[in-house]
Amino acid sequence: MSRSGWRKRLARAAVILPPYAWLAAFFLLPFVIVLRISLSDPASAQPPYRPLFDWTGGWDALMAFLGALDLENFETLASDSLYWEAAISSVTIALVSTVLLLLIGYPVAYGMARAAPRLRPLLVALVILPFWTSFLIRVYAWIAILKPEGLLNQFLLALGLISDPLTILNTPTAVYIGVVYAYLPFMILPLYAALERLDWTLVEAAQDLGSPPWKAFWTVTLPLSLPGVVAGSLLCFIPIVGEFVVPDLLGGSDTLMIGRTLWSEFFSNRDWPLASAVAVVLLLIVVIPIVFYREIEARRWEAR
Amino acid sequence: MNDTTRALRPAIGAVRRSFSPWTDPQARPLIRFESVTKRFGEAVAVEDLSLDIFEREFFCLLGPSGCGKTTLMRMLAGFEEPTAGRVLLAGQDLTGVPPYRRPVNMMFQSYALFPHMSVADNIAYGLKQDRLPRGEIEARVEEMLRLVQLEKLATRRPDQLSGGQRQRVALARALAKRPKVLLLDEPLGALDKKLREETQFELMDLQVRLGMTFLVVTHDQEEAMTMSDRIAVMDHGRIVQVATPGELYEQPRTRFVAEFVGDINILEGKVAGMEEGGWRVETPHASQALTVFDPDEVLGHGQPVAVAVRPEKMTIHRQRPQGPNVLEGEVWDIGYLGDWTVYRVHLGSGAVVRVSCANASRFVADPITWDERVFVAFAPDAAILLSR
Ligand SMILES: Nc1ncnc2c1ncn2[C@@H]1O[C@H](COP(=O)(O)OP(=O)(O)OP(=O)(O)O)[C@@H](O)[C@H]1O
Ligand SMILES: [Mg+2]
Repeated sequence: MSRSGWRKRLARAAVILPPYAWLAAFFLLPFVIVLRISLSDPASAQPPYRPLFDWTGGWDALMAFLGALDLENFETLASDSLYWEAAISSVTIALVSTVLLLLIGYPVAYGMARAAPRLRPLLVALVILPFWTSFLIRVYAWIAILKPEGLLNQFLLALGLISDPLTILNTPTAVYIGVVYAYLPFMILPLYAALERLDWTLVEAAQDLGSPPWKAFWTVTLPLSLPGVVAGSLLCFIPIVGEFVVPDLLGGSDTLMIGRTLWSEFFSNRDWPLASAVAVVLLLIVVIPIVFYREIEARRWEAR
Repeated sequence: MNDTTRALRPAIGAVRRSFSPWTDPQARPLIRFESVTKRFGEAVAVEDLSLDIFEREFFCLLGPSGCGKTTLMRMLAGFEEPTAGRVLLAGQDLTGVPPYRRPVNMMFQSYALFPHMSVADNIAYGLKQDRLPRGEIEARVEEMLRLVQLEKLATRRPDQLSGGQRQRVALARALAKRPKVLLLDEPLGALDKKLREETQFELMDLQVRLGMTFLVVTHDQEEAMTMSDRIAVMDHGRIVQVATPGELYEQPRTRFVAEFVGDINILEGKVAGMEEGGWRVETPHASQALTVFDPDEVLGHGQPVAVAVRPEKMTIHRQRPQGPNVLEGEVWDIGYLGDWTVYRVHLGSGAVVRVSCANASRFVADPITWDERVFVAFAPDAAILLSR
């Protein structure tokens, strides 16, 4: 091969390699480690799992190591209803939250996209503004708002709408409020990106052909903003399934979420293998919608 | 052009010749703009404009970019409400009637085809809104596809079509509902010259066959002249003149119209009096005063006026011809166009006039060439006097 041919190959590799190297180093490698721990047994030692792999032992040591790995932790997960409930509850909370986020985020994004062009950058900045403050602080602020003697109750009492403070903190309602609040920008921004690109003469054309505004929305605007809906939903659903901070701070003890289960297995019980198994299951739950999405995308491209 | 259009041609001719409702004081217009004004903030897009369009008329809006053509059309379609004045359709005031309740369909300047629907679904869209039975919708879609010759592409999506095909889909979609009035905003803008000319005749044919009223926007004056019954020339939100193509060309009312429609030579001068029914105009471009028969103009002595003459109404000579209007100059440039030859003659005054001569014979023994001294002449009734 000629010199320039090699150069070209090298250049191409230099472009393609970094993302793969990144994924291998920061996703694949940690995942292999977690998977390996999830197949081990807990031990009161340092590190708190067995078997350990003896690098000096050669072939026999490797075989012994692999022989000691088993699916015991996954069996535990499957047989104990606590984990099932945590998983189902997480997915339910994530689904309901995603729907709520869509219902709130879509009108907001729509309004932003129809605002005067010179106003739009300001509106986008306002949506991103909360990120200037730490996530943790913002969730703590919600405690101050939602607690029995908090701002919300004071306000409602002052208006005379209620006579006794509402119990919101440490209920699933508080979790929904916190999650929807925290993830709203992630829903609004992709929706806004899709709607802002939309050619509004298409909506006019629909109305010209006899569609009232709601029908023009349903048959033209919504289908054309679907990529934004899917992107925003994935961007919210996936992290919400594994969300730990919000249910921990706002949800109280009776809100089951898989992220909290993982945390307590890891830190309270020091059962690293079981915690790792929960992490693997969580990953699988999250991968399903992504695979589903890719399938839809692939079919859409084929249809073209 | 296909066989049906050829067979229909004499019929269209007959319809065209006898069609002139605008001269009939009894006729009621189908569309009426009544002192309509449209402002966008400070900017005035349409200013105090009144216009009547009659049923079955093929009406063109002609004017330079930004003169308010699209805005006028959008007010009829219902996308803009007039700031002042009102729009009437068949005698009914359209103020406050939303676009989806107006019996008017529009073909958009950008086509505005739905990218997520096939060609057939695009065409069916308007019919579905009318809740027609499915069989009828299918039949109508098929008919429209045949009309615009896109049967084979029914399942394609708009982004898989060429510009010309997209334009035909947009036309079919707007026609499918058989609206009373079809609005076409630069319908042929994206087509090459040949396809454009073909489609012009197809549109005219369609309009006669379906008995519809067409309001077409264009800034191509040739296109407007070819297709329309009448043309409105617009400038800065106002209508300057409404007339048939022939009137517009031969009797433009203002300098703007004269210069916008076709080529014209303008010779500035001053009225020097009236002699034997003709106006005498003194101009620095000719050694003797020019004589013009233009009964439409009423002028005062000494008033500045322009003598306007179309290039094909001038003749070019080596020897000074007999007759009243003779200009003297030097040939600067010769453009051979096949059917015509255009001479640019530089007059002693510094002005340049264009003279076009039909190339009636294939060979000329001793043709006029560059830098020759020549005389340009025109008849008194070939010129127009323009005071505005
Ligand atoms: N939505 C709007 N907001 C502000 N100004 C507008 C708006 N729509 C049109 N205008 C202005 O009104 C004037 C007329 O515009 P219009 O689109 O009717 O022109 P047009 O004759 O169709 O031009 P073209 O031949 O380029 O399509 C222009 O000066 C334009 O800038
Ligand atoms: Mg326009």
